[in-house]
Amino acid sequence: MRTRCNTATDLVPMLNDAIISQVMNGFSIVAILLIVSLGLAIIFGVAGVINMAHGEFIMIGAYTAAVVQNFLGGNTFISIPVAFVVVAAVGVLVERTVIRFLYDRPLETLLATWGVGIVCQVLIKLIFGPELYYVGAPKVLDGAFQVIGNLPFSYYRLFLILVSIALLLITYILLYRTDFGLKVRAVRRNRSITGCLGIDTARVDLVIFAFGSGLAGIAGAIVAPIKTVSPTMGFPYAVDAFMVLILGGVGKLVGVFAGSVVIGESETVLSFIYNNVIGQMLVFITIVVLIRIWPRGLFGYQER
Amino acid sequence: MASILQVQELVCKVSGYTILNGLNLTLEEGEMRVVLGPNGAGKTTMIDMISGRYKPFSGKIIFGGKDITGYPSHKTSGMGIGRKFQVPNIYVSLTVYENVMICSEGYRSVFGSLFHRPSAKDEQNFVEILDLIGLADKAQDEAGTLSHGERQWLEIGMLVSSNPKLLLLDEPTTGMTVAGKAKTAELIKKIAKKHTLLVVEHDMHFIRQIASKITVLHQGRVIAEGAMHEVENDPKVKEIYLGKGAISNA
Amino acid sequence: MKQVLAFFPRSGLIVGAVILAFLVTYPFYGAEFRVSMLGMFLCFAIFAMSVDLIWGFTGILSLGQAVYFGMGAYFVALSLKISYATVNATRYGGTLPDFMEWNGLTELPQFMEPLKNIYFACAMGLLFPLVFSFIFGFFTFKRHIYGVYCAVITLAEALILEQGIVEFQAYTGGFNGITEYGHFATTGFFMVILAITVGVVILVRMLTYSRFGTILKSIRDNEMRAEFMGFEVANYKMFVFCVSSIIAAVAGGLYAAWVGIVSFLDAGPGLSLESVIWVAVGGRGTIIGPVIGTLLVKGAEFFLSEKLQWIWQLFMGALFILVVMIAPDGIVGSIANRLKGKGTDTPIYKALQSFKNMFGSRAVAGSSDKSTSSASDKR
Repeated sequence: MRTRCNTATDLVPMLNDAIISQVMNGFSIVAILLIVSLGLAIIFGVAGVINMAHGEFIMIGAYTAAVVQNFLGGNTFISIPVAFVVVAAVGVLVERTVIRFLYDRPLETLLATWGVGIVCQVLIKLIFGPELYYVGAPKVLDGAFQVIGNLPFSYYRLFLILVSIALLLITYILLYRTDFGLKVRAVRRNRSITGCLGIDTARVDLVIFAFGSGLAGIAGAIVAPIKTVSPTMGFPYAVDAFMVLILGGVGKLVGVFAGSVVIGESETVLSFIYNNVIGQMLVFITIVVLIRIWPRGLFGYQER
Repeated sequence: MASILQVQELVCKVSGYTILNGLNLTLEEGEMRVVLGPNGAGKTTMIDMISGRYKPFSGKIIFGGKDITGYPSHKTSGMGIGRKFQVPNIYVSLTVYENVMICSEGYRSVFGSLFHRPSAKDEQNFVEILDLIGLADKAQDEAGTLSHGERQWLEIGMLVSSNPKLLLLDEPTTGMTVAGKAKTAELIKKIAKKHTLLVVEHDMHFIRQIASKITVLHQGRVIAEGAMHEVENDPKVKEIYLGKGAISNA
Repeated sequence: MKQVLAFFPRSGLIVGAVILAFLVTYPFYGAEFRVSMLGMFLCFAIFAMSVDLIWGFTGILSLGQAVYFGMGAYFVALSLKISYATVNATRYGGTLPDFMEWNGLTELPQFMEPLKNIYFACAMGLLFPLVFSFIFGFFTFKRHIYGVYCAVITLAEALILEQGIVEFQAYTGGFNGITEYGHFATTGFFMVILAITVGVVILVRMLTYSRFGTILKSIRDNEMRAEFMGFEVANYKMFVFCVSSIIAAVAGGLYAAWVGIVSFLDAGPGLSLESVIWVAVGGRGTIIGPVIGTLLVKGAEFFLSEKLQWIWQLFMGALFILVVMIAPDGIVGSIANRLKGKGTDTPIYKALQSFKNMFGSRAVAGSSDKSTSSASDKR
């Protein structure tokens, strides 16, 4: 899921350096988590549905990038918006055929979207075969720059971080500074009254689902260069996104940010100290314990 | 008669708003009290505090001589406080009979209920309750098929089955027809003979039918208390209800 | 005995007896690989019932119940493997299980010594899930974490265990799993599995056809109301969760002994989600439903995946979607509804009705509109 840090070259500098370097590595992990979770958070926050096919939507975004870049000669800057559109379209299809009928049954939506995810995987396998695809990063972002002493930080990672911040800002503006966003927040607060006020709640749901799916597509396009593209690449990202939501809480964007930061940094640092799998276990246990104190996440609506 | 419930200086704050602002209320055992007040006065919040749904910011709630401030809901229920919700909360996939049966007093713990089978006397009791709420002929129907008003009665029946010392009824006639409300009034009067009741209501006509001591809330405090005619003519009450042309009938 | 029979409806006993008769005699005339399949399916059916107990009856959707199945399976498999290895030299010539050898271990780890005793292993295989599910339940249910939050956390739990098993391959056989330890695929053991299946059916029925069971259903229907009726919901949930985990572990242990191969797949989210589908297809909240669902779905997999793997997977995905959307009560549930005369608002019933109306009298309008409007009403 994420590359294990190369301890061989870090052993020599002082431990401080290594920790700092890990924290900085963590920034890009946090950025990835943020991008990956944002779409899911919006859909869950507004409509209360968990899209278990979120991982597959990310995967479709990655495949879109593969097609755009490997077959159509584009690059990452192009594949990002294309992936947004493609996966948003898939989202619309799924929403209209499946999700629409299950809004009042969130657990059933979980199962149905899991089925959607399986179908997506099968279709992708049929179209593209089970081989792995490699998608390159744009040439202009090749290389790294020096940060704090002689620790390299790749330009692509910086790009990732910038994109994540941009997406967060765009989402914020959409939700809090537009007319549409006002409708969305009204629906989230009180669906039936909002419906009575003449706002088409079904349409709001559709747009939000499409937007969230599109974000997943962007996530796929943007992680494609750093991860091999395969039909099953999406699931671990989806689970990460779920954890971010559970820890960070739903309802406020700052929750997604906080969740990403906490999980991203702790996983990176712990994975460095122990190893990937143990790092994940520790993070999971920490989340379960933290949930005891904040059952609805750090920034969720808490019980009084 | 001992006072069964004492609410002292109850304060509740949510997201910066003070909903209850020093609420004081004393309920005698066996009494039936009606709590009245415009929307936002804090009636449901008061019930939430007493039944243990949410913790108050400050103040005390004393039930049967014991300080139960901040007790969680299953504990307050265990102590004999039954709470009816504004929106009827019943078990939709169980039958009407099962709804009443499951709430019967006692056998609440996991191991206590594992091996329990209701006796013939218990079963007779359930039938009596079903008669009381008028749903005896629907005993084997799935509760989900009941109409809104019937669900309200079922929930009341469930509470009666649990034999509480204090019954908190939150707007029990919401959504009912006039005939339904009359029936509910009769039901409540029968229940009041054996239980202490606190009824939150809006509908003056309905309150007239159950006629008892009234407490009027406004902005989180008690502004008037007394018999129907006293409260009706209280200038403060008139101002908050009728002062700006507002009508008190729900 | 009579008291036990009293728990079942007459029709159920008759149907059950017929099915039992079929199953008991099958090993004597059925082809060996088919009997082997059937034994495996029965293990899964026990697992499915454990899932139904917490989901169908209590409303807890756990997407990680295979964790407990896997625990039971791994304990038994490890024990059998260790014993087997001491007697049958592997190609490496040692007395250690092969996966330990090729991971560089030269002797059995201290903490695994007691596993040589199969009884100890079985006891641990029951104790571990019990303790684990108790702790997990404590953290989750006492803090009123339910619904999607609980489902997602259990999913993560399963994924992490799966990854942990692969990671610590020196102790668990990792990616390849534990193989070749002499499995018990005999007719006698088949009867044991069958007996335990029947036993679990009886146990679950006795648990659920009682005040306790009705309380579970009330928690499923309206947790808040139950809480306000004086039921400490968290305790009930923890109890059934622990019982369910033990049943799942038993299923896993039987599975390990019968099939002879155990891998990380038997402890992860894949199997967990599959079990949910078995229950959904068969009918949640019934007891025989999960058994039938498991047999049907697994049987279908057996036939379909022989042709093309992807057809089976597509079918599986579609199954998840369709069962949830059009037949939420599953097969047994829908039949039960029909018999009781209710359940006329499920989409599958309406679909059948409108199909019938197309050929019969004039169709009643608006049947497909109702499902969308009632969905938006409830929100």
